[in-house]
Amino acid sequence: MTIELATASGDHGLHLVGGEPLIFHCHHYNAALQQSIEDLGHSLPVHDILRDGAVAPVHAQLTSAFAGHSAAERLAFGADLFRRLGFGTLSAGGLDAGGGQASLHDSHYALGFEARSRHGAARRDPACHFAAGFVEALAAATFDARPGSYRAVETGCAALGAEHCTFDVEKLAEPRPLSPSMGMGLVPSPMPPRPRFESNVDESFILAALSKLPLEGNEEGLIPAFGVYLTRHYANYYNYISYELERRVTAEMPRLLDAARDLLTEAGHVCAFNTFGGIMESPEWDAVVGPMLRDRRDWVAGIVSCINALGWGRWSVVELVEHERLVLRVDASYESSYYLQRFGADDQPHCHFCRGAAAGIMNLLYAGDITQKPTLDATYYDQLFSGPESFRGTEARCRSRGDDCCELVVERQTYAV
Amino acid sequence: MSARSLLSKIDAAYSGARRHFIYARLSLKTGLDLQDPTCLDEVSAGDLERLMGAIREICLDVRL
Repeated sequence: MTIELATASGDHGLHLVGGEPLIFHCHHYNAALQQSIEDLGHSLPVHDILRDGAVAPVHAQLTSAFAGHSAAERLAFGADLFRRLGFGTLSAGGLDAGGGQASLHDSHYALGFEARSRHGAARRDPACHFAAGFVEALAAATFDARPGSYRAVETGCAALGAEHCTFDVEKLAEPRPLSPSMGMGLVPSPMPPRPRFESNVDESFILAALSKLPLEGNEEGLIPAFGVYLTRHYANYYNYISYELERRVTAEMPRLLDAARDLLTEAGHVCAFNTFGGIMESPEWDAVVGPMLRDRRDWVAGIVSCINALGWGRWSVVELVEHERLVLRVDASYESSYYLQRFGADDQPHCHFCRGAAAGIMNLLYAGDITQKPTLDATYYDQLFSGPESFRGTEARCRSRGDDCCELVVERQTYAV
Repeated sequence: MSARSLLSKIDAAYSGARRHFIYARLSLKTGLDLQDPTCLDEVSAGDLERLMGAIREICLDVRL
């Protein structure tokens, strides 16, 4: 009997695997987000946050399927899952109930930081905190221990020049307390009707075509696609690390809260530029979406349809005033669904990533011209996101503020310092 | 070199969103709210050292 994770999806747009929402994100976003959190390393235990974020969702997912299987089968399954999700090639067979060593070749995070080193992301310390948390969760799920029962320390990292990454794993005398996984969080039920947006794009056709793409880790455990390295990542990892940052800054350094939120949004800009841009320049886009494209309204509708294949929730175009304004509605965004489940509603919008991603659509199409397939490099990024004609997103409505949906408004706005 | 003169180098090298997000990163890395000009009145020697280190790390286009 092989180990299998139950899968489920629905009109909310989330893709559940073993009860955990999995979403696609690229190495640019993963490195930019981690770097933003690490910037607070002088006053917060950022590496604990980055590692702990992996433990609860991975442990919950694996334990949903491990009953009746041997330790060797569990470890092998966990390593194969890690590879299929695009994080690299993990060797965990040497672990036992007391701990041991694990190794990682072709680490996604090490590779991501290396690729972004010219953006000031060069490492001085190990990079693979998500992988360390995954190893901790795998050990706990394998040996029927509670999440937080193991500690994995990365003792060598490819981002620092090692041939591969290594982790020393030890069983703790007492499990450290961790926030439990939020699963799919609180999603609207039933889902509300979608706004109608006139275009020539057939979203159901695009979703069916994208679902057939082999977006799974190769032999090296990497997912090279659309000019980036993708991961099929844990939504609740992103949620945990982003909202822990927000929560702790609110409590301990409230004067820096706007700066922290801005950086979560800037990571969304980085994501949109590289992943949306890469998708819109890809042969897959040309083949699947290209025949439907008559004008830039169709490009907007086309990329929003592709976003709906990424597991981020259900995105819809509400309004587009070309060259001026875009309004998007997101039902069941992975950010708000988690936030509501964990914290309940408050008086602030919290979909910081979505805000940046939405701005990216307008910057690619109306501050720049992605239809001409420009080179997606740092110079072009600065031109699109830092020019006087650049667009910026705000979240006018948010479910985590008690609204019935999340609504992102993108307009040209300059930045005060 | 004062904090204000350090930031004037940032202002000379960057503009728009790029400058905005660099200020945000420098704020997180130093614990100083650099978007509030009054905070520059209270910068200690240790803060200044941290700010210089953060600029060297983040602002590859700026020479101190």
